[in-house]
Amino acid sequence: MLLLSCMAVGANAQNISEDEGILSKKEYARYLGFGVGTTYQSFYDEVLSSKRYDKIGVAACISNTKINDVKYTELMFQGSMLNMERKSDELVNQKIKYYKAFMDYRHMYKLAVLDENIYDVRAGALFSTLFGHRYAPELANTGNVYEYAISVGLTGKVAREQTFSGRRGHLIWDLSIPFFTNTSRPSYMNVSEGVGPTNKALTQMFANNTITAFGKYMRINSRLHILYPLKNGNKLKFTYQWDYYTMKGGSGEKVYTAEHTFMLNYQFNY
Amino acid sequence: MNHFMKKHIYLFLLIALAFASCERLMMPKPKKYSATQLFEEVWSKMNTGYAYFENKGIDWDSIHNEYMFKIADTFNTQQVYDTLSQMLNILQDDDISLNAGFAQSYYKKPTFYKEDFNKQLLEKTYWLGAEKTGPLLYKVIDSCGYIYYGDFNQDVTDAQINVVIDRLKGLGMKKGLILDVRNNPGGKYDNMFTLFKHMGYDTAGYDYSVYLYQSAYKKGPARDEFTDYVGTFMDKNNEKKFAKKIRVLTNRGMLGVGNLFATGSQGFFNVRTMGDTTGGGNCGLTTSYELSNSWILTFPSTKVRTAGGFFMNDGVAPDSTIHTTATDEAAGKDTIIEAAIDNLWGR
Repeated sequence: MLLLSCMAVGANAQNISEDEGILSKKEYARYLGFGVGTTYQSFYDEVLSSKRYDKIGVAACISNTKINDVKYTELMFQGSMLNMERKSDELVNQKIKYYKAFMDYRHMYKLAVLDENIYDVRAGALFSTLFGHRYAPELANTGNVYEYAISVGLTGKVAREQTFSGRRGHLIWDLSIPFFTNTSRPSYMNVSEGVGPTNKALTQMFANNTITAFGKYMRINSRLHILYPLKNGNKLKFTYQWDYYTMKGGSGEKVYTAEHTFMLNYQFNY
Repeated sequence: MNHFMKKHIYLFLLIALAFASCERLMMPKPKKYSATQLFEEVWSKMNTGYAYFENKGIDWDSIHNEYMFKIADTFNTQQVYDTLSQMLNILQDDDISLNAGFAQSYYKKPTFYKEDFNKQLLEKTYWLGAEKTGPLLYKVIDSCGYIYYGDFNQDVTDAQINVVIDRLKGLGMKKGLILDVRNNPGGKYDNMFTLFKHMGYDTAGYDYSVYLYQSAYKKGPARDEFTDYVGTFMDKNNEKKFAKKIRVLTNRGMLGVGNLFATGSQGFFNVRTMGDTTGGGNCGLTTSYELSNSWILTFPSTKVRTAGGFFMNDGVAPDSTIHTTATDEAAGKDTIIEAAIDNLWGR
């Protein structure tokens, strides 16, 4: 998978210049991005069901990007709400509401690797927060599942310049993988919802939080962007994102989720 | 569209397809449905989640050995449902159910106790002229407030209770309140806590906390893997209170959350329960799980005991045991309500 992505970027590589447009006093090109797109999501949550749910819907994101010759930072929020479905008889029809939101902050520096005349390679640290909530109304008492992850990890990107209809755009691939995480999933069979007067959503969400390494929480976020410059200095960014994570609760019941998103992002240069 | 654009679109799609294929490999494959596989799934889910094997004294392993020969992949849906329902009913538990869409299995324990609840009589005399707010039916009888709440599945809110309290006071409630929850089949815990918030009474200068009951949660697949028992409390709060003296009427028709309500009520210093022992059952929190053929299996996964540490399987005994009598019924009287009125008057 990763090899294929690398080959794809490499096969089309031309040169490395990525930053242009209005520059700040510190010589950063800054972009405020607003994006919306189509998302296909699926999950398999062992706490709720033996069935896999999926759905196509809409996702939106906001981002702020700063880039100069050496440094690259990006703060991005993305969220979606889908009524997930699965194949079944009409008599046992069920939809699960799935809310997913994440915030990724990437902080990278240029690396002198590969051919700098062709590639702009950057790598650095990732700070990420992720929140997921599934609500299955047919599952009385235990149909509410909350999970979150706050992580630090590694991130990297490869960019190269590409001419689109006479305009100098860019083809970019980036990859982010969290390594150390504070995370929480429901207790065994989600009985944490509990027989008590004060057991509310926030209590449930943080009830089983634990600090873990790669084993209990694994997330891969991979994005491929085509950056197309407009005449006014702003940019259009077409993004395909694959976001996959598995998270394990204290008792070993896992959730597997995958998201494919095609997004059109308008980047205001300021 | 120029050559480069086309090339990149193809590249995009190729990469998306590659990632999609990868996740198919990483996610577990959904289980394929077969009668025997479903039997294993139901048996195993109960084996790792059901909270009361110890209390029931049933050897669940031997049930597996028995029923694995009673089910076959050639069975049609109805036969599979019938066999699995039969297996689940061996546990004789009101809180276990299998929802197949076309039918929902459940176990109803046969009871031979006196009902202590005559709806026809209540409708003809005590409920006549009563007002209703949300699920609460209420009126004032002999300067005592009277509320009937018959189903914990019917949502009740603080705002509704406040309206009822004000109205009862306006109608002349002076001696206290009778809260009739007889024949309540149980339901949502939230509604029970809403009622608890309005029990107790306002105290100036000191706080109180009422010990309602204790629970142990399943924390792993082994049959004896439970958390320690933890207490559930109701702290003093600012909600409007029903009355200084409250009498809660109970009978054998109260199940599930109804039992919890009866035992929790006994923790309040201004509440007395009157009538008969409640219907019993497990009272614990149930877990629901969707099986591989989309049927929903529900079973208790939490053990609950009274604040004193007693199981409620055989019901919660009232503070004062009173039964309705044929003589009173013939005279158009509900013995338990009459006793509660006398008690509030101090007669």
